[in-house]
Parts: sequence; C-alpha cells; structure tokens
Amino acid sequence: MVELTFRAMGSQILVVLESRHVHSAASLGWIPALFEQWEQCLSRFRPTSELSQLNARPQEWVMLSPILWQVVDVALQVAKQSDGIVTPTILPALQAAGYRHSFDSAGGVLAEQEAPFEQQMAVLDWRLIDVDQRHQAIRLPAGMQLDLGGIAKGWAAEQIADLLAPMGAVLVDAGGDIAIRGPRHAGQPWVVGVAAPLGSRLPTAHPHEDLAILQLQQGAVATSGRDYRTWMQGGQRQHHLIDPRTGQPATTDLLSVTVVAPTLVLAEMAAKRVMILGSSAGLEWIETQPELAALLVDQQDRQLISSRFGQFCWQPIEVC
Amino acid sequence: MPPQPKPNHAASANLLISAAAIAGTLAGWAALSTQVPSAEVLPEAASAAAAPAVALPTWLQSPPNIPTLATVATLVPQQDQQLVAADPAQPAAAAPVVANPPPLRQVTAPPAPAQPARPVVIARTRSSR
Repeated sequence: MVELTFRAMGSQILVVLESRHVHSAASLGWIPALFEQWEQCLSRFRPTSELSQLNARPQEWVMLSPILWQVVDVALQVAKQSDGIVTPTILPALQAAGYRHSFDSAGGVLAEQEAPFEQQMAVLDWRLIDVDQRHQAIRLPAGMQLDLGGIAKGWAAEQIADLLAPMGAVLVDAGGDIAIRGPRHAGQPWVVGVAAPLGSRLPTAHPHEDLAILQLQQGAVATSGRDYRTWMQGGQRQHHLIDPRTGQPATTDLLSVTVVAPTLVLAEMAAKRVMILGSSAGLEWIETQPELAALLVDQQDRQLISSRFGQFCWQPIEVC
Repeated sequence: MPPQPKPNHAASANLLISAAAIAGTLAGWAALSTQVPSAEVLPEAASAAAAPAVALPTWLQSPPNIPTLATVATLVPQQDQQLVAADPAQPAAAAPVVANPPPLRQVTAPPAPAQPARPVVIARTRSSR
C-alpha cells in the first residue's frame, strides 16, 4: 500500500493506492503538480487564476480552458440537480458575509471581519448564466461571480481516483471528501471513519472517536458542516454555507451532514443541500434519493440517519 | 515536712455504702425469719391436706456468715488498683492439616463472546479542512 499526503486547495490531501505495480510514493509525485495546475485554474483566492479573470469580466463572453469549462459544467449540473440550493454563484454573498481570504493564507483562523458598508444584493440565480456549448464559453450577468470551492475539490479527487484506478484499488481523501475505486486486497472494503463535528459534545469513548465506521468498496463519501470554516463578523458567527434563497449564511439546525453516494460530486452536493435545508426537509429529501445515504448531526448533538445509511456501517450506530 | 496523704474521699464513700448494704441485709434477714411459718400454726384447712413437715433448709437454720466491717473494708478495691484489660483475641487456630488433599482443580471464566476486531480506519470524512 502506497500513501501520499500533501496540501492543496486549502485542504489536506491523502492518496492511498494498493497496486502490484506501484511500490513507492515517489512514483505518485505527479499528483501534487496536477493539483497545483488545477488550483491555478479554479481558485477564487488567486487573483491570477482563470476563474478570477472570468469573475472580473461580467457581461462578456469568455472562452474557458478545458479544465475550467469542465468544472463549471459540473457546477451548473449540480445547481440544476439541487434546485438551485447548491450553486456556484454565491461568491459575492460569501464575501459580504466576511469570507474574503483563504483559511490557509490566514493561518487557519479568519480574523473578525468588518461588515461591508453597502451590501449589494447578490445575483444568485444560476439560470441567468449564458452558456455557449459549441465554443465552451460563458457570460456572467452583472453582479454575479462564481466560487467553485467544494465542487472543484470533489472533482479533482475524482479525477485522481479515475487516473489511478487502472493500477489498483484507490482512495483519495481531499480534506474529508473521499472517493473510492475498487475493493482492497482479498475483496476487503476501505474503512472510513465519520469524525464528530468540531465542538460537539457527542459522547465518545475516546477523543476523536468516529461517530460511525463505514465500509466502502466503491463510490464516495462527503461531509459538509458549519463546525469549521467559521469566523466572526459584526459580533456574529458566520459560516461558509450560503443559502441562495436569502443570500446569507444558512440558518440551519444541523452541525454536519455526511452523505454516501456513487460519486464525490453528488455526495458533496447532497451533503450541502441537506445542511442548508435543515434536518427535517433534508432527511425527507435524502429518502427520495435511492442512491444516497446520510448521517446528520444537529445542534443538540443528536444523530439522525437515513434508512440506507446502516448498510454501509461496520456496526449499527446508536442514534436518537 | 513530709507531704501529707490526701484524704481518700472515694474510699470513704465506698465504706459507707458497704455498711449501709450490710445493715439492710441484716434487717431483711430478721424480717424473713419471722415470716416463715412453722408447721404447727398452719390453718386448719391447710393442715388437713398438709404435706408432712419439712425441715428448714440449712441456710435458714443458722444466720448467715455476715462479714464484719473490717472484712468488708478489705474487700473494697483499692483506688490505685489498675484496671486490667481483657486478653486480646487469641489468633485463630491453624487449619488442620489434611493428609492427602485432593488435587486443586483450576477454574477458568467462561470465554467472553467474540467481539469483531475494530477495523483500521484509513481515512476520515469531515467538513472540509
């Protein structure tokens, strides 16, 4: 088993490969370089990135590179699938809420942010984006900018998993969002823990013990939460999950949501959607999706699971 | 001048109590001896079915040996007499030695139900960090 860890896209990345052909992490050295290339294209925190240049040219047709085009296309599909709840159009709302710098560049903690003097109503409706499929070009309306954060990271993890899959069984963990391709040796599943949200008071026998232990041979698992990437603005705690219906950080009774899905992009979308919808509507929606299973933790530290979540667990978990 | 012995008030009190007790005993004895009826003065009804005369027990035929004051005084414990604690509990007697003890049989707890080993976690899902 070969393991490679590095930092990219504001997250810790872990690549695990079980292969008869690859015996050292050095042979995986091209992966961080690929992440760096993608980040230079997709990051909203880099002024020179292709995404930043796109955001700086509203109301203009802009032809996109194959990478940016592919990720924007995925993000718009996610927006459509989520009925606009998970959309890449939230960047102005995120900045207005105080999320203007990456956590990595700020040393992991954002200082208290000043509220903007004049908060413009962000344009969040993804359907206002013009798309030219033939020329792989888009045109953003005035007041709209894109943030590809979570989608880009999930997409990148899937790319690496697909590239390595012909060589053996693969697990790619991008900051807690995990893509898996194939069972381990002797048909053993990959074992993935579900970490308790930061600051929760969930009873665990050991510090950092997992809420659940999942066994997966294929597919993905992602967690969305408001326990991390939070900051203070105007005396109020803010988080990065923007509800496009209000343009504000979502008011939700949930601390975190973990979703098991066939693909990481789908898991990421579903986890974020349930977070924004809240426990009742979120769990109800999950149950209508036969490909999805979810574990929810609410702000009273109660755990809720969908009817299909148990089939991925090593042992039954106690829920409220 | 040699130190004068202090009057022993407690000993005097004990002596008085002993004298009073002797006087009470003598008075009781006298009363008892006058109340014991003789066979000749039993009522007629009683004498008809009376049992044959029984000799007085020896202890009633002569006055008891009443100690004199001097004797009582010697029986009063001295004030400086030390109280002696009771003997401490004796150690338990050794268990008898069995000539041919049966061989000891080793007792083991029943095996606990098998718990599946906790699998090793390769990665953890959590909100992005």
